[in-house]
Amino acid sequence: MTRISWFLKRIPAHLTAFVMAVPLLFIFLSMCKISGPQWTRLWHAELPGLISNSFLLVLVVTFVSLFLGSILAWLVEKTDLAGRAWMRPLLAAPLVIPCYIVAVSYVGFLSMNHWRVFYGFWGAASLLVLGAYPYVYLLVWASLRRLDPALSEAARCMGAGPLRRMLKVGLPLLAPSFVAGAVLAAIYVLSDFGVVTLMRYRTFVSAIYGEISGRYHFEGAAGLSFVLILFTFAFLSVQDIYAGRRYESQGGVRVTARPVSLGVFQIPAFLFVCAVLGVSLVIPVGVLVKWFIDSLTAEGVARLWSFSLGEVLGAGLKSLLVSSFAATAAVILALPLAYWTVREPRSGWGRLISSLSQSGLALPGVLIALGLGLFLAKGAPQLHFSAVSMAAAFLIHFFGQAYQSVETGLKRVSIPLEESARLLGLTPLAAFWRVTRPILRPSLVAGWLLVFLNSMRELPSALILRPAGFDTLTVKVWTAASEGFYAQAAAPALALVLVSSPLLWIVFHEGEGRTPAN
Amino acid sequence: MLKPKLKLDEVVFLYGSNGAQPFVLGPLTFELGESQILVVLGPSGCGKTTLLRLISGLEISQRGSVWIGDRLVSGRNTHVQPEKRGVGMVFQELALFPHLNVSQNVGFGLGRTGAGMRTARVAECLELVGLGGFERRYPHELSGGQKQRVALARALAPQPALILLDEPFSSLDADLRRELASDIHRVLRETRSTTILVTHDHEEAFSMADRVAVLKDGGLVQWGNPFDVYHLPVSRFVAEFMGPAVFVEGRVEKGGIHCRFGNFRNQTDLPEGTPVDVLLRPDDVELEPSDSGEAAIVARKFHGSENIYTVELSTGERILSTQRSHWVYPEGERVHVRAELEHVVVFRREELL
Repeated sequence: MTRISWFLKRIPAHLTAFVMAVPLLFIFLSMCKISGPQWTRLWHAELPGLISNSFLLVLVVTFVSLFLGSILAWLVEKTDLAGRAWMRPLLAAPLVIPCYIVAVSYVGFLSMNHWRVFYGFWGAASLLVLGAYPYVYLLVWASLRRLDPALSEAARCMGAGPLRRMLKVGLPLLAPSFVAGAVLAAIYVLSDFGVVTLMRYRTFVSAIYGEISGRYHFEGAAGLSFVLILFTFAFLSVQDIYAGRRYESQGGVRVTARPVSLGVFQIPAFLFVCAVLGVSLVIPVGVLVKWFIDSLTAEGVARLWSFSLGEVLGAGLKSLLVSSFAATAAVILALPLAYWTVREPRSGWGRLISSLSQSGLALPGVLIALGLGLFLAKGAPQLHFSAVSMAAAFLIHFFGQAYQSVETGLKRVSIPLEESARLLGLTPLAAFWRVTRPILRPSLVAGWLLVFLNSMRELPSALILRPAGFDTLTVKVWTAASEGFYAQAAAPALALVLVSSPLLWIVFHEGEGRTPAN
Repeated sequence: MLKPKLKLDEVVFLYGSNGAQPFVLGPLTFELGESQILVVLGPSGCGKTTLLRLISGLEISQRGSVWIGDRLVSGRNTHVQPEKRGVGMVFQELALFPHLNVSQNVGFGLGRTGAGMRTARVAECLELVGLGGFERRYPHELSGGQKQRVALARALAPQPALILLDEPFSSLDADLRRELASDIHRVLRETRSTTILVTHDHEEAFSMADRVAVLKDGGLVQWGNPFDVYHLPVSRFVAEFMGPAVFVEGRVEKGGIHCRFGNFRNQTDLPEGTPVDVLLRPDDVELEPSDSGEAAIVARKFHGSENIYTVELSTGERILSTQRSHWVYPEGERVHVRAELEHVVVFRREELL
């Protein structure tokens, strides 16, 4: 191999990893500037309350969503529950509604009817459960589907009754998906911004946001962020310990199991699933639709409360522009990095580079905006608070999803495949174009879509980094809701829900064990 | 006959009953004696696996009864749960518990045994299948053949009344298959296990079976010892399923069965004049090279220990013949054909329209 190609392979990969690590790096640098007394203040005045608040919320939401998600997955996959076929996708559907929109619709709905809004811990916890349970549900459901019923039958033939089968066979095999679900829910709660802010509950993220936006106290924010990052990576490492225990299924699943008969519990179980769907899907969407219709028919003074179509379209266009920029950049940057990490023997350094570039996925949007802002303030002040900075934040936040898609795709293109194209007379570039690219295409499309859709929905970094007057859909929803004009929030919120719906299709098909875009 | 260890009486199972074409298994009636090995043969989809699942209790039959020893385990208003039947099963896909190591897998069925007894029994069973020292390995660290052995040890460990093996060698390559088959045969004999083994491979059946049952489309078409099933098949289907077979035209006459290769004893009660097909196995057919031969060699397949020749008769019919390994003649060689039939098997010729 020539020297040049050696560098050509490595330089783009390392540059990408460096870009993705910018927020982490600048938060760390900024934290180093915190003086002793500032640390003492943080340590005594802020941290104990924040830690106990955040942990209580993480604990409660994680356990409730784990329980709820697992029960629902079991009901629709392993029992004879009536309507389970249409319940399967619907139960995952709440994840297309960003959680802050659910929060907005509940707060608006309750306060407009002069009912009591449960601000604080319980309000935040219940709303976050509605947002987190679909993720647990999807993970557990997917691994229930892959669970070979022959294992349970083998246990039966060896004299194991139902309880022993559950304790010794079912639960241990599902354990990795429980852990993955719990970690996902915990990180979801730790990084949530919209719900805790609306519910006026102080967690790390809302405190950091307060430091940035209210007090312009960036060192303090960096200090808190650093602690939050430590907790996030602690949670992730729990999952890493368990990742090694994923059990490969031995060949395909051949036996189809007889569904468990619910008997007298048929009706309560049905009502239970309907209640979950009602609370997490029907009520929030119903409220938004009602507001939307109300504002269309409003007259006179009431028109002040409604939206203008032009504004919504304009906001949608801005969202579209920034998100598609982020998605395109993510896919382009992911290609060389994935090429390098998939094709070169994986060294410790390669693993570090690849996990560093995916770190944005685990970090709250507020932290990414903070870190990026710190960098831009130093390096390129003219870009700070611009559409470019927003797009960069989205890119860093969701780059991991593009990378993972491309990586999975590249693993399917075996080297002999490209080599045989070469032997049939193609140049390396032609081989890439005619063999690698077509096989890779579905993964590129899926990666692009994931980054694009998540960017459309991203609230906190858009809120922090937007230039004056550059209101995206999420910003519109948020500003309208925080000023109490709930009806104004309806149209952009509904637009967001509509745009997000392909997301459900992608994740649901992944859960079924098919690849998206096939 | 020995006291039956397993008895099926008029067992019927229907599935896909709400679909367009319900599949019916049975009615099946048979008995299996203590320590006997029954091999169930049949093409895929004939209901072999379902039969095992009915006996183990994983499926519930609609009619008929099943006894294991003296105990009625399945019948009208009776269904003993699989976990209470004491039947060991080796699944086609093995179903080893991926989260448990070899010793925990084998010990799984030893519910209330004390720890010492348990370890001893696990070691004994692993020794039996030739896997002593593999206790700490996990299923994903084993080869295909080793997994198979663990699955057998696991089924044997609780000393079940009956062992069921579902296509145990289907995923292995030919050499490993033969080696494992003879090993498993030895283990089953040593443990004097009453066994049902399901397969679609007749060679496997001949090497292991005390009894052979041939299933087709859910029905039992022949039951007997391997020798009889091979040499005295009751139908064209069984004849062809048990090994290479060709049929030549013949007719029932006064002195016996007449065909182009001569007269043979009539072992049937078909009336005189009936047109029949006579079964020729390759090892019944002798070839003799001769320029005046009425037939010609068209193909030779070398099998190492033997040659199988395809010979075309003047009528255009093709028959097979097994010859010794060193008996080599080229294609096109003219030969005389002789048939020596130990068992004369004929079927009434189905008139083609």
